[in-house]
This record gives sequence, structure tokens and C-alpha cells, in this order.
Amino acid sequence: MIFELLFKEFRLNRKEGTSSLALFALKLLLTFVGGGLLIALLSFLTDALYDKLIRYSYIAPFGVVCFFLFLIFLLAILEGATRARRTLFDERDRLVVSPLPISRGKRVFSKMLYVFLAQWLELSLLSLPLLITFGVKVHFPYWYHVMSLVYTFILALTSMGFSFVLSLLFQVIHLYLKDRNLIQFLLSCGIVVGLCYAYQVFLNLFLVALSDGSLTGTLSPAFVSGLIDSNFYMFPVYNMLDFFWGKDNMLSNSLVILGIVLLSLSAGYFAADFALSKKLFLFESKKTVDVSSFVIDSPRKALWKKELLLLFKDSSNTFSYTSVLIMLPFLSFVVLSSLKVMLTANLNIFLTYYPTTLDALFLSLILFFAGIVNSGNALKPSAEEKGLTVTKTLPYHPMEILLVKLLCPFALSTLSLLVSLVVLISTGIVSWQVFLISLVLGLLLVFSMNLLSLLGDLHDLSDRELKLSFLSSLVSYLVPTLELVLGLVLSFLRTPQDALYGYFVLPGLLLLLPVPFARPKVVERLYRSMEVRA
Amino acid sequence: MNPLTKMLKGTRPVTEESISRKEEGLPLEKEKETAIQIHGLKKSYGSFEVLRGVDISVLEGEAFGLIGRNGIGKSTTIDCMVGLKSFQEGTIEIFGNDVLASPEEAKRCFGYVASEPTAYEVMTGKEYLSFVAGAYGVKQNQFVTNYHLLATRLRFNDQDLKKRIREYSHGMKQKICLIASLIHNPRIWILDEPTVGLDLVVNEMLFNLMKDLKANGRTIFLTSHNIDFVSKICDRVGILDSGIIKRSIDFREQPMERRRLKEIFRQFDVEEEKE
Repeated sequence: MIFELLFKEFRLNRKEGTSSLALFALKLLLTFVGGGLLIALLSFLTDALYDKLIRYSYIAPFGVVCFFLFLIFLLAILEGATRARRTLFDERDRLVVSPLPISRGKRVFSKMLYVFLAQWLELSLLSLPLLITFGVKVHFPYWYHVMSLVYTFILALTSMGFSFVLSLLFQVIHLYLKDRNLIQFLLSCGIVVGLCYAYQVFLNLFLVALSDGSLTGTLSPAFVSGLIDSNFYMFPVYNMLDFFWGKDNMLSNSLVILGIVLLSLSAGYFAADFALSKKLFLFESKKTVDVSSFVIDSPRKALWKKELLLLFKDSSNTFSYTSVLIMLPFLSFVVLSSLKVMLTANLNIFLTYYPTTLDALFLSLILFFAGIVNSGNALKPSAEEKGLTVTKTLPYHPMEILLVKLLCPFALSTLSLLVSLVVLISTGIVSWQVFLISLVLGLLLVFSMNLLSLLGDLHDLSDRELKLSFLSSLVSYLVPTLELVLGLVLSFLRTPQDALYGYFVLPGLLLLLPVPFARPKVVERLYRSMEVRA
Repeated sequence: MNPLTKMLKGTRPVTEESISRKEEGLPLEKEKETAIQIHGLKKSYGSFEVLRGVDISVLEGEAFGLIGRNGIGKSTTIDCMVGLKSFQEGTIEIFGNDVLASPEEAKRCFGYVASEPTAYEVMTGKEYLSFVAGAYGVKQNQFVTNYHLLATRLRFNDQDLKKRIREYSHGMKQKICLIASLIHNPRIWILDEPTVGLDLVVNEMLFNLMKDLKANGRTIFLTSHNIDFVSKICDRVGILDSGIIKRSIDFREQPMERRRLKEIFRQFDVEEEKE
């Protein structure tokens, strides 16, 4: 029974969507390549930082690795808590499983096992490269690597228990935020800015690893020394490393580890059991509803309002499109400024010979980010799901509906792009030529993506065999890549700078290709012939 | 005066014909026009022809029930009427408005309830009703009157309007869809399997609401598997079989058939099995 329940957990938490075998194989391949690249990156960072840290102090590499492992442990708890919340408070699951003769203990156990397995995989992927690279550098014997596997197993157990406890807090926060859109929005923006900052720190570490000099930036000697001093408080990571590596304080460390594991498991079990046995009714608003105060808008205004509500009220959008819109200026600034520093510091001579390489790279990245951000909007008709039945039976002209669906994300994405570009030019990261070309191409890209997304969706919903909704995503990758390749080739050919900027605009013409297909009559026909199942 | 009558009072459109009838002193009852006119409706899914020439005519103020076995094309007929699906041949007119030539005008005439509750589930009840009312251009005071009346009839709690629709139970979702479909006071109420998933009490509320609307001159077009419900509320039924209306029964002319509807329906099933 446990295996059936476990299988059900994996099925329920799998992302919906049908895909062909080829697409599945491609996804699998990309996952393996991505995982491999991540392992390579982590191993490289550990290796490079070890060489630098050992010059500072013989204990410094241990201190920094311990700190990183502790960070990974904390991240695993947070990530596990979101997973545990999803599985514990899944209404579909509750409705289906509750009436079945399955004991609560088994349900709790299957959910804990599910979260544990997922966390073990993640922890192994992130922690093992650090542990093994460190072990190789220090020339630890083979049994140490076996102990690394034990390390991830025990940490996954511990983090899983804490994740279940934290999931209750996450659920309480979720209930609180559910009807508080502004706070939800501000919080998601805060998280996104925090992620940007974390990204900058990571990039800085990369810079330190690449540079030939001594410890600077994030890994300053003072910071490393502080880390070493605080290692002792990083339970249970420090105790496990001390147990495996130092073989000091074997008894006290093993007792601390055992205590923490037992505490986490029992607390996690009780938290999960509590969640499955009680229904949390918190933060129910007492405010009375006054129907006479409802504002009834004009048909056009009502339509705009609906699209904005769909965009901002869906919690998945709040943490994707909406917040990413705010993030684009931060992201562009952080990435481009770090890259500029990194490349001008390390590839100075190369850039003297091929000065426009940087422009091509920046232009490509700006377009890439704008495309990614815009693709997060879910305003295409199929995204409305059941709601599409409502819109299609209301007395709106198709062009009115589609125009709003096109203009709403276009306006928001444009605003975000414009702010990003103003930040980049005002901080001197990009030249005015790159600013102008990025603006023109960015607007074209965003417009073209939204148009293609709409046309592709209408086409696919009209029961055609050939599916076209992938075109929008394709363009978002294709155009920045073309710009990069074109820019690099022309730079190497020593094309004059002004002529090169002219060439940059050429791929933009590709973006105008969907426009002739968007004739009002064609679009209207597509919309009307769209088959909707009530 | 019945509150519903108050809501519907004076909403019947004044046509040139009705003015001339009034001037000629003719009774208004006779000014009934054709509310729904379906002619030669054909619809295929790939090579499967589900509708092979459906002909239905419903007069204003009539309650028409379309019945038939599962998967026979009842919902498809409604979907074609309300614009959810395209069709290959035939014409559909709603109060003289062709659904292909002037769909917006046709849509203004009806309110539609799908078999499964269909609403924007991320919205609250308040946001959803405001959107639907806005889409039909309903005035604020008319909205308040209509809402209160319908909410009272369907026992919909005002406090639930602040909840997201995704948090509603199935019955509550169906209630908000029923309210939304009538918030603009339409001349035709189109319902596809309206009783699915509703408990006895809500079923009765729906029945009474339909009865009052009918008494106030509104046209009702519904499909249902609930033969008792159909036979009680409808003036006429059409039995859809093999893609056409195989039999049409007017209960006003053949009142005894109302009781025999289940039996007649079963006969179609038996004949189909024999074939």
C-alpha cells in the first residue's frame, strides 16, 4: 500500500501536460546535461576556491565548505517545506484518499517518504560535488566518499522532518496572503530581489575563483575568519563533517546527530499528522459584503480588468510573470554589470581587439531576459481554461478580446524593458547605441512573441493537427541567439562599429513575419472557429 | 407583486409590431416572436457526424427541453447556439439574430449555464459577477436589484462573494453561474444539464426560478437527463436521436404525454438497441 501511495504522490505532483516521446527524451537529455553542468560548476568552484583558501589558512577550506553545505541544507529545508505543504494540503488528494480505508499513519509515512526521496536526490546533486571535490583535494581515503553518501542520506532525513514542521508555517502564511494581493505582490518582489542578490553573491564567488589574485569581494579574509568561528553552530552539518573527517569527539557528535535526526523526524511526523487531521481555518475575514457598493464597469473596462485580474491574481503568476516583471531591471543590472567587470578584468586584450563583442553579448542577454520575462504571462486563451467558456458566450467582439490579450502583456513587458534599459544606460553599463537597438528589438520581440502566442493558441484550439503554440517560445530563444552569433561573427570580421549596429537590426525583421498572418478577418475567423468544451 | 415579476417588469422590448398591435387594440399575447430558430444544423467531429440536420423552433415564452441519450449531441447543439462550437451547415437565429452573422447581438439575448460550473476560479464571486454584469453593460442599480433577487431565490450567501470561486463547493459554483447567467435579465435562458450535482433543495429552487421566469414571458431552452424535471417545466420537448429531432411533443396539446415521457424516452433506447 505504501508504494501505491508513494506512486500516487509522484503522479499528483508531476507537472501536468501531455508530451510526445521525442519531447520527453529531449527533456530527459536536457535534465542530464543541466545536472552534469551543475555538478561540473560546483566541482570547479570548490576546486578553485580550495586553492585560494588554503593559502589563507589551512582550516579555511573546511570552514567555507561547511558553510556552503549548511546553506544547501537550509535551502533543502525551505524547498522541502514547499513540497510538503503542497502534498499535505492538496484538496484533490484529501477528497480522494480520506474516504478510503487507509490509516492516517500510512498516508503520513508515504508523504514523508515522497519528500525524503526528492530531498535526498537534490541534496546529493548539490552536496556530493562539494564533498567529493574536497575529499580529492585533501586526499581522503576511499571510505570517506562512501561516508559522503551516508551524509546526504542523514541530512535528507533531517531536512525532511524540519520541512514538514515548516510546511505548517508556510500554510499559515499562505492562508494569510491568499486574499491580500498587495502584500503577496510585495513579498514576491522581495523574494525576487533577494534571489537577485544571491545570484550576485554567487557570481562574485565565481569571479574570485577565476581571478588570479587573493581573496576579495564576498570571500574577504574577515568573512572567512567569521565563517570558521561560526562553523561550530552549524548543526548538524558541522557535527557530521567533524565526525567523518576529523574523527574528533565521536561520541558527542554522534549523539548530537542522532538527537537532531530523531527530533526532526518525530516533529515532522506530528506536524504531518496534525495537518492531515485538522483543517486550518485562519484569517477568515469578518468584513461584511455590501453589494450596493460594487462597481460595475463599462464592457471594455470590465474586459481589461478581467485580464489584469487573471494576470495578477493567479498565485502561480504572482511568483512568475508579475514578480519577474519587477525583477527584470535588477536581473539585467546584476548580470550585465558583473559580466562587464568579469570580462573586462579577464579578457581585456581580447576586448581591445574585438570591442563590439561585449555589445553583442549584452544585446543578446537583454533580449533573452525580455523574452523569458514575457513568456511568463499566461494570457493566451487556452490559459483561461474553463473561463474561456464564459468569455466566448459573452457579447464581446473577438477582436476586442484578442486586442486586450495582446496589449495587456505587451504594455507590462514594455514598461519593464524600458525601466531595465534606463537603469543600464544611466549606470553606464551599455552604450546609447545598444540602448536604442535593444529598445527597438525588445519591443519587436515582445510584440511578436505575444502575437505568435495568441495566433498559435487560436490555431491549436481550432483542432488543427499541426500545433503551433511552441513558436512564441522558439522566437524568444532564436532571436537573441541569432543576435549573439551575428554580433560575434561581425566582431571577428572587424566590421566597423556603426555598420555593425545596423546589422544588429536585421534579425529584427524576422520578428515582423507574423504580422501579415494577423489580419483582423483571419484572427476573427480563428477565434470563432475555436472549439471550446464547456 | 412577486419580486421576480418586478425585476422583469417593463423589460420586454418594445417592437414596431407590438406598438401597432397596441394601437390596433390586439392582445399582447399574440405578439410572440420566434426566440430560437435552428434550421438544418449539421456538426461533425472529424468523420463522425453528430448532428445531421437538427430543426428546432422555440417561441418566446416557451420552455423547450432537448432530451436524448448520452453523447447524442444535446450539448453540441447548445454549444453551437451559444458560440462555443462552430458548425458545418445550417442556421441558428436568436430573436432573428444569426449567431454567425451577428453573434454579439444574439449573445445579448441569452444567459447560458453550462453543465459543469464554468467561471474564472481565481476571481472572487464579487469580481466575477461584476465582470459579467460589466460585459453585458448592466447598470449598477439594476445589478443590485437582480443580484439580491437571484441570491435570495437561490439562497446564496453574500459573504461568499468575497471568497475565490475555486474555494466554492460544486453547488455554490453552480449557483454563482446561475446568478451570472441571469444578472443581465436575458430574454432566453439556455441551460445545459442544469441539475447535475445539485442537491434536492437547490433543484427545487432552480425549478421554481424557472417556473417564475417562464410565467414572466422568458424563454427557456434546456437539456437534461432528468426526465421528471423536463416534463414538469417544459411546454415542449424534442427527442434527439441519430443526429436529428426524431420526435417533438407539445405537452399543451398532448397533456397526457407529460406523464408518459419516461416511457417514450425508453422506447427510443430500445429501438436504438434493436437497430
